[in-house]
Amino acid sequence: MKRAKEEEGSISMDRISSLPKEILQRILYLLTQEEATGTSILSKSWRHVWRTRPNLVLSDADYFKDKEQEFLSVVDETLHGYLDQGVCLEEFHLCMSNHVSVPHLEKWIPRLEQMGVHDFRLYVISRREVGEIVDIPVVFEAEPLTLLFVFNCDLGRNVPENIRFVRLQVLHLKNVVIEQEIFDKIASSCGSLTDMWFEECKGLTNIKRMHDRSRCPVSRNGQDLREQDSVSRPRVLQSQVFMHSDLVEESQVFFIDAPNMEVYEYTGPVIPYVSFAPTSGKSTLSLYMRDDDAEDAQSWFLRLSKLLQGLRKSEICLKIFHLARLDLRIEEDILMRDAISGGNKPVVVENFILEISCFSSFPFVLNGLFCICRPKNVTPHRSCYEETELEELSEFFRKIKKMIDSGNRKIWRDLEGLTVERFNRVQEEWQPVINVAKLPESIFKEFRVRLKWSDRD
Amino acid sequence: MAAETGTPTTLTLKSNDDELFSVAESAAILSVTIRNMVEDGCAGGVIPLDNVDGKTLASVITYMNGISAIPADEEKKKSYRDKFLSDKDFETLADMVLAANYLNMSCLMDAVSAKIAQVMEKKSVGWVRRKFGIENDYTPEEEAAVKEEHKWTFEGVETDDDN
Repeated sequence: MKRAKEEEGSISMDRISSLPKEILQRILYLLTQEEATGTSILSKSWRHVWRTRPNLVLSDADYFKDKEQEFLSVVDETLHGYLDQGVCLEEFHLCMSNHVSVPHLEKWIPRLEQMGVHDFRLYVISRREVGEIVDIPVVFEAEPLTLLFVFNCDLGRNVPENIRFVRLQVLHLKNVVIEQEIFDKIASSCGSLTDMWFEECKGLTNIKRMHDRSRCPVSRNGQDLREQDSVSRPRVLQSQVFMHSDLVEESQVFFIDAPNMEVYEYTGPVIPYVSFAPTSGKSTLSLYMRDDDAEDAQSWFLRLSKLLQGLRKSEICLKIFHLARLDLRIEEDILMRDAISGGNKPVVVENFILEISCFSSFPFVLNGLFCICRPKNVTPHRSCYEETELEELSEFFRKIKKMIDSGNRKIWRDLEGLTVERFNRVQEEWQPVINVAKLPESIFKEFRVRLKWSDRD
Repeated sequence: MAAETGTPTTLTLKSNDDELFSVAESAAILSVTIRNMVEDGCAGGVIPLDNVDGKTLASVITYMNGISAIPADEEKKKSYRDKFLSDKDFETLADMVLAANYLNMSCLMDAVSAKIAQVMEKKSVGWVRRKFGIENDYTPEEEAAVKEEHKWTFEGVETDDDN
């Protein structure tokens, strides 16, 4: 019985092994590196097929953890395999978490172009908290580089003469020390950059994108159609910048110049200067309120006002958190004059989220904020509300109403309506709260104030 | 009569076992091989496809008609492809991928390759051998040597052989 079954199976004997190599390569292309390499053990004819698939993904994590030498020889040997057979390697993803092996890039990178690589993704993720120095000028020569992730590293002091990141699309730096000059060279070399992410980058004060070079010709042999498409398509630039408080002093001047930005996300203690004017897209700003010696509340609002003006044509979501002071000195007239200087209308902010510990200080902040922008929604943010906090919240909503009644006429004359709303998760919609005084008994978790402004200046 | 407005041009394809098929030119030119013939003006009579049998060609034509009836909507095209391939056994898939390769139809080629790759994903060596009827011609010593050579691949791989 068993025998018969085997024979029945053998009628269609091994179609897969007899498929042409280019089809097998296409199939293996879709497997993980381990699965693809694992096919070597199927049978003799499969032994080396994996070494011809057009992509290679190697990481010194998992199995190779603490087996650095073994990892290096696997990378070496596999790359050699492609070279020796003259097989085209199109994609090469390499993840290194041990800085000791980084100098080996000197050997590998210069060969990639010749091997046909047009999609080289490099992850240098140092496991240590303190940045290891990765002073490897050869990385800057990697023309096929499309993605560069560097975590916990120091990119060194040597400014390379030439940076050839013509294909770089994604640049992700976290806890990286980088010379401004190096960064400028990177930025001016990558006409294809679509995605930037900076988190805790020491030394970086100015993020500048040169003029849009998305159409700069990338001429190479073996460039496929898909790439040509992406070269001529309008750039979508995503930028995410995250900074935390320990770098405040070094980053006092933080300047962002990036036209064509579609998604702009900034988190940090310093309000950046932006010199671009997005015509659409979304801007999400998360800012720490500063009212210390370095920057008083007044100048903080003035800078925020400038930033909002720069982003006025995008959909702005503004989140302010870490607010502790009870009384802030704000010259409302100065703020307002500044905000509407040049005949601009007050900037519309889609959603203004406040994340604070002490609700009672709100009106001061709101006063300053209403001088410089027109939020459509004001949302106090809390992950959950205790009953006492709900009381504070209802107090807060009452204070807003009071503030409007007694506040600056110039601001509030434009207000047409105000509704306190709660979010109904079942019906997935915001609904008006009828009686704000009864908020503490509410079963709802999310509240906001919806403001309707008239269109006049 | 063919010049009548709105009448689509029809091509006649001949399989290697001499079956004839009519197919709208607009659908047939999904195959770059056929498109080149049309552009070179060699599609007037019967187009012989020497590497495709009738059964496979019928299936490929069903696909050509189905996919070209869908407007430019990648999501819908993808779900059509998934549905089209869902009931095909490996034997048929192998025939289709060879035909797609010969006809130079990259979308079908990619879809069938993906389908075959899916079968191999997360599976043990033994399972893949059985599934595809691959005969292990290694001696135990050779097999152990290959395994040792690629130790990094075989350690810690979870397999899921139930389906």
